[in-house]
Amino acid sequence: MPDKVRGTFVSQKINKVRWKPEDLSYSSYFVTGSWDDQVNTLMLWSNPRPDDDPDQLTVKTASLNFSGDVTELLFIDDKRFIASSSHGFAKLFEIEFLDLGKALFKELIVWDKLHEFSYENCCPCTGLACFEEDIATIGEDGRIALLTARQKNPLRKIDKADSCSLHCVCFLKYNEVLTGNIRGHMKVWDLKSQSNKPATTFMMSGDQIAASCVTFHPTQRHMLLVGGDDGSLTVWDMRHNTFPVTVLSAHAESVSELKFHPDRPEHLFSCSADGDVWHWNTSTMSRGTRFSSSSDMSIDENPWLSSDAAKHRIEVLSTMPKLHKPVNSLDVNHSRLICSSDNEAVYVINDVIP
Amino acid sequence: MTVPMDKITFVIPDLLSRNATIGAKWCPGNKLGVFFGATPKEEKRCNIHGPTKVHQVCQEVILFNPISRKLINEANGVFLALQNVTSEESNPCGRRAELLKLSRWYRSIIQACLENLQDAAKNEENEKDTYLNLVTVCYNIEFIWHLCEILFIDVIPGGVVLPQFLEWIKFHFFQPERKAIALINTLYGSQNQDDEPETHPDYWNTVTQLVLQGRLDLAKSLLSLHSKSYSEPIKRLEYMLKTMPFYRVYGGLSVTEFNIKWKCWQNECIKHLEDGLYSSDKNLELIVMLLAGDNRGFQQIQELCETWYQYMAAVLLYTEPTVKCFDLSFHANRCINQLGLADTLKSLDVILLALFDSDLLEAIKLIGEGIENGWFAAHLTDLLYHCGCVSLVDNQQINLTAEMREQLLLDYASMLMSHSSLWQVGVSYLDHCPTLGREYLEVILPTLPLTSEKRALKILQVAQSRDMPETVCSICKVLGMRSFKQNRLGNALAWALRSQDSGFATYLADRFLERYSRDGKFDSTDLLENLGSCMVLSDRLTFLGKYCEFHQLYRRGDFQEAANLLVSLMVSRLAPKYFWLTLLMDALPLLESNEIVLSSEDTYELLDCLERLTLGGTSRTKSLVDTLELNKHVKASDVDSEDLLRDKVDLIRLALGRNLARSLIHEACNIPDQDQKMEKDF
Repeated sequence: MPDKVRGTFVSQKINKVRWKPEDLSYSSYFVTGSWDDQVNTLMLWSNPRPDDDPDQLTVKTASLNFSGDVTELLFIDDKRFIASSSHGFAKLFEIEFLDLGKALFKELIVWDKLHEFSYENCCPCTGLACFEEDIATIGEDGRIALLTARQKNPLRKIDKADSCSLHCVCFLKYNEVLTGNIRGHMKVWDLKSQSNKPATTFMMSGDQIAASCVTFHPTQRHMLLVGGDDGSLTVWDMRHNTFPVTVLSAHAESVSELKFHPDRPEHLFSCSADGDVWHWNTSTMSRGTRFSSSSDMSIDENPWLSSDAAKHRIEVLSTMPKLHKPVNSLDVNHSRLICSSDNEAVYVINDVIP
Repeated sequence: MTVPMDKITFVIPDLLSRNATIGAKWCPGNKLGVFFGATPKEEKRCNIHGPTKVHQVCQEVILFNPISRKLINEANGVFLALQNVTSEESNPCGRRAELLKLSRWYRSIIQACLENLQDAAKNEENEKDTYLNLVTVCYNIEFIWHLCEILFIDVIPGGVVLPQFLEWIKFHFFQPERKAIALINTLYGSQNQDDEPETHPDYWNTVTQLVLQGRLDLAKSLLSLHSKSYSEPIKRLEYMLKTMPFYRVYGGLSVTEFNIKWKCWQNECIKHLEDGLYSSDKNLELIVMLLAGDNRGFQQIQELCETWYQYMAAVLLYTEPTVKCFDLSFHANRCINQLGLADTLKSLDVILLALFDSDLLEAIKLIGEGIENGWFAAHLTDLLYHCGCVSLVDNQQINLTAEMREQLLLDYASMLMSHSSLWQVGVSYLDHCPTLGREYLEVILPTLPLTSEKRALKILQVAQSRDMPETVCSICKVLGMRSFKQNRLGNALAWALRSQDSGFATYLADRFLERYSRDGKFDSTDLLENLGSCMVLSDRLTFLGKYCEFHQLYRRGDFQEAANLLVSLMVSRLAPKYFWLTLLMDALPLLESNEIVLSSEDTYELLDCLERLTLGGTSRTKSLVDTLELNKHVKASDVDSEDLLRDKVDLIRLALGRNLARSLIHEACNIPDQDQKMEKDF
């Protein structure tokens, strides 16, 4: 492994890894959630920046047993995060720091039985999305549950939102949620409407490919990127959503997560089940367009929405040597990327963007 | 010589166990299902009552401990890198260097693990014994691995093995060095004129041990602390220690040249000894005796050597410094006999002896009996196999290397597959078993529990990328059936479509139609209306998809299109017979609509279908029931509404008749059109 990649073996397969956000500063803590083990755990790790500590040791500072696989982890502010479980519940935690560099997870709210089957008790909650304190969870039962971090009772449950298992979810606006199912069937839900029917539906492709993950452009929320189970990347412009703008055949196997750099949206990161972590750099392309169209912010300002993307002109770099097991999750904060894999290791990569 | 496998006896806590017979059966994942059974007579006699339980008994795998688990995953990375090296590197020299690097990488992993374990043993009081046990295991692994590396991987041209052999001893028996440093520190600190450092209880033992290991610089430093270090004998001895020649492969001397030089040096030692220069000081005399290779000296230091291999290293260093690999076995046995240990050898000793003897088959067999669950044997054998220079030969001189490697990998992999989370690691080992790996995978993959779709997708992906259509199909079927049992027809169909399982799709389509007949509305419309090209998987599914389309058209008010679709579904006989009546009922509003949407020809077709339905049997009533028997759910709900059915049929017949009349009149009114059409036809 090259110098800028630091691997730590953590003795559990990590399904989700997230930097703990810091106000106006760099993150030096991250949270991991494991899956598939006899006893799964949530763990908090400290990992100082190389400037602060050249050794950059990853140290476990907190750990908590978790029932079921951790299927999603999301921070809603710099202390509180939500974790969803394959046992059908979600929990809101707060990180509390103690003396001697130790910390603990404080359980604030438990939303039990968000997802359930009619004949079996345990139905996995497959994902969740947040818009400030509003939360939407999805499950294999095809239900959408709407919660708020302020109360224990769910705001609303949309039963049979989908007849198949839902696999990815995101907020398009404060009142719009998008879900994708195991057949790549995408639905947009208007939360203001009381009917249990989606506002719009469209297919990712005709080939029954599951939508494995979804993300939106940080500054242009109408631009949507969907990762497929076949490794493809589909770009949608939600202002006219019936057909994708671009379909890129990207990874060789299922795309497990997609993430735009929060502050510098010209950088996108993706990871896949065949062990790759890729960095998609569109800064060179967007600069070109910016000069040509000088002042006005045209629609095609976003290189992902221009047809250039289809011509594979986006610069794609591999951020670390290919791993031999699926990479499940990644997160990026300032210049540092973190990713986790089924080989029971977590890798911190320094200086991923210049 | 073999070491017997440990037999473990334990008691299963069960009321029945005292008075009943025991039975057991293998379960997937290296588990044993144990149950107790008593005959009714015995039950009565012993007065035992209680539920019959099945106990799952499985082997405790020490590797699954959180710390040693890192060993599994890190080593897996090295293992895969090793498989790549051997397929890429063609140059044997470069390959050997690469293999040596990997061997060291393995060892560094073990050492890192060892450190973690030692920390854990210190910090966690209640688990201390477990960790200490693991420490011993890891230490032994590293110890043996290092020796194998010296003997079989890092082979030096010319086969002079002693320098590395000494390194091995020095690396693992570092106590003399530590003691020496500690001594030097304390003695320097407290040095005053009256003190005699040589009176320190550890002093002479340490010096001698250093000499035995060939750490002559340190020995010299200690000697210089001697209160009479300026005296002639010690000065001489220091000189001898300084000038002792060490063989180096790339030192510029051939073995013969070195031997001459070495003999000269030793002769001088012997001369000093014979001169009686040291006879006044027993300790000094002993050291010189050792340097001179004198047997009396070695007899005296037997106590100082913890193990026979330390003794062997010392003897070789001062009697035969250019010993070759193949002579090690002879020397090892001689040393053991000299020390009188032949009857008290432990399993580690036996393994080392086998290695010196180059009897890898035996060594690996013995290693395999260790308690580290096959990790060591599998990885070491794989590495040695890839080195290529070693061949394991059995009594009949048949090369067993490949077979043995594969067997060990298979065992190790199946052990991993029994763990809930490490199955992915197991898969990557099975991938590299050329003969049976695939079969193992085909058997084990379907037994992995499918706790969530996410896990199922990962297992599917493993099967798909290895081109195992049957496994894929069976996993999809399990998931589909599970969804079906949970009353989620939509998801079940999604799995059927994914695996292209047309039989299952037909079955599910039938269930959809049944539910429609029962409830009057469709389940999972979002799925059915978006089937797209997938519906061609089975005829029934095509019908289902098209029938949904019919409803869509009808709801949209597109009656003409809807009617055409309905008729084509009937004519093409795509519709199952049990569903004809429903279709005909659906046609009713179309027949009665203001616009004429069904032509006379269409009406004849529908009439034909109705006749076929009703005249199928001898009596009209029986036939109707027969028709419905195909559709059990409808029958269940409408079992006593034979009259209703007859009404339905009459209603349809009436509507058909009326539409026929209307359409005939309509068509007749448009004769000019038809004439034109007929002219065109002519």
